[in-house]
Amino acid sequence: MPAPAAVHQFVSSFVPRDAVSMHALGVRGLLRDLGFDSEIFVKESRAEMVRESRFYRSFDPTGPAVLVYQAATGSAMADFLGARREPLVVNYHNLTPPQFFAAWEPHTAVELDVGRRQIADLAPRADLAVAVSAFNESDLHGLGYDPARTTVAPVLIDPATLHREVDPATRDRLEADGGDGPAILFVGRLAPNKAQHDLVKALAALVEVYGGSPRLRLVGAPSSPRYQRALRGLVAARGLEANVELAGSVTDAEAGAHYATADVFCCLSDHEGFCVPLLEAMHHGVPIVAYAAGAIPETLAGAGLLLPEKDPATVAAALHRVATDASLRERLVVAGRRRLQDFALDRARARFAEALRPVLEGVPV
Amino acid sequence: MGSPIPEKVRKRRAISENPTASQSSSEGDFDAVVEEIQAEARRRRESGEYPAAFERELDALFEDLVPERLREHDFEAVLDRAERASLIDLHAPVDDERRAYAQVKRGVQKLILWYMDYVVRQLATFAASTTRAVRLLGNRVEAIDERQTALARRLPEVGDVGDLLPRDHHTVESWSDGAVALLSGVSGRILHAEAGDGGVVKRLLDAGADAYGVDPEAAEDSLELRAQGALEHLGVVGEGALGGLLLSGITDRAPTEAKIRLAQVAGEVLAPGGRVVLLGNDPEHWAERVPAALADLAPGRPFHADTWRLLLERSGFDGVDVRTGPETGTYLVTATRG
Repeated sequence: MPAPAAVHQFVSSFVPRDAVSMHALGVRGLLRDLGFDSEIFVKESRAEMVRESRFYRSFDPTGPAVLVYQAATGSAMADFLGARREPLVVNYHNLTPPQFFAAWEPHTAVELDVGRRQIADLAPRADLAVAVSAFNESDLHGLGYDPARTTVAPVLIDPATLHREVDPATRDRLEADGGDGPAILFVGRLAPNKAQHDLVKALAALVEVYGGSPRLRLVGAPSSPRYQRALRGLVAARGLEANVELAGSVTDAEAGAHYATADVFCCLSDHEGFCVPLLEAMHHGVPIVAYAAGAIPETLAGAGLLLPEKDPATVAAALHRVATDASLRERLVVAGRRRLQDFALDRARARFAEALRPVLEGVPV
Repeated sequence: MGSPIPEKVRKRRAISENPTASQSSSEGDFDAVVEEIQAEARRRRESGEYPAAFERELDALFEDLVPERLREHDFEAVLDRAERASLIDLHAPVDDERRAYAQVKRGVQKLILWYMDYVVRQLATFAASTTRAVRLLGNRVEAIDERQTALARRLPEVGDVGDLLPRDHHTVESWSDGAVALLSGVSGRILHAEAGDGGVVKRLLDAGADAYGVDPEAAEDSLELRAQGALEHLGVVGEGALGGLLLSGITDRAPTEAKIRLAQVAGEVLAPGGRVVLLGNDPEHWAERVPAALADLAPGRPFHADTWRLLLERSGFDGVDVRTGPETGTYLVTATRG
């Protein structure tokens, strides 16, 4: 394969603070540092990101190029790339299996199904697939990718971008509403696969068995209005309205206030392809309790309490233990900070460059 | 906009910068903590602080809020959707912001309309015929359902004679200590069928076991005691879903075929290593106790304990142990699922 002069990326939705978009910017920086011409082509982008990207239909290379598709959703872009002839790298961030949405938002389930089929259709066409976790790599194999042409490299996220300033008004409000139990935080879209309903059940158990008035704060925009309604229904049915806050989409500084006032970050997701909020919790010194599903054990790598089951009794016991055991909290925070070093940008860039080496033959990386 | 680091965070930072703490932290430490947490959850369950019904109630609360689940299983709704989907729109959208593109699309549409029309007509006919056939099939299944329900309503008339027999609470009472001792240590859920007033279930729950019961004459229909027939309920219990099974009442009253099936089902619903405890009456003693006319008209008669031994061994059980109570004419049979 002749050495390409350019390596361009394709991102369906290019938005600020989005993990995939931030990763794409990191990859572009790496590629440019390696001496390649590198641009980001998008299907849609927010106004503040327009200058960083170009519309994908305008892609018109003048010389040999490698195309990198940031695959995280179903998109017409996948079909566009499938029809081109340049060497193709699929950088896979995972698509939620449709069954999680089938009962809630059937149209979303169909879209996810189409998206997964599109990624499967790219399998014979892709020269290389780079998954952001071993869990995702295994998912790629299930979609028909040749294991000899897949590899794993973490997301390129500058740890500096994990930091959130603290909005004082939000912090004061959260501290005033602290209750007399632990403040439990989860950050992620309200979605069936993220199983916020299991967090509410665990909270109910915590109240029932250990008493007090703990708080559960769920930060993230809803990706299923029906699921959000059901979540509210469950909270109301258990009389937990005062204990649970569905914060929705928040600003960076508001998110910072949530991290600053949280006693424990708890993730009970049934399916996560990587889970960047775990890194945010590590960065902000919040101890982590998580259910061992999807890529969570891999991302956490021992830097948290990893529960093999998530029945409310076990989760409540874990939350209570973290809230009341200062020594354990201390060790969890230290382990989190240490784990975060594994994602240091220089290390991640080296691993990503190494992963791309097969398609950049002849170019020193 | 930023702000000073709050007290909580300052504390965390001070903690995290403690070098001694850093050295003492390791992955293995957290595994041990998780084991302690699991043990704590188990202990709280066993002590009754955490009622087994609590988690089931939480699950049930949320299940009731899932919107599509019921409709997904509603035949009419699914068929309606299929019928709507069988209407194929021949006219694809041709609007485009770029006028030239829109004109090309219109041109292409006009050009191939005769062909698409020909294909679409056949597809639509096929889809409509298929959904029509499924609807007719649905009607026939519904008719069979209705006939079966009507038949089932008539069948209990035979059973009603059996129901004239007084309910035998004595057998369960006389063996309840033994049954609780044998079952309270098993791992997994325990079912008592038929559970009567739920006395043994309550004792098992008090002992920290995850138990529930079914009885067709249950006064209440709760999570711990459901108003349902034993065979009817066992028919929907998942394979290997139970750790323990206590059978009583039905073991004497059911017809022979049902009793044979009962032993087979016990082997299916119990997980390997699970325990069955079966309480019954010695048939000779039973015949002496029950009025002759009722005994003759009863749909089923009790089995000898050795008959249960044979049936359980055939159904994959090991270590069958029979305990008899000569004074009461009753017996307890217990075995372990191999």
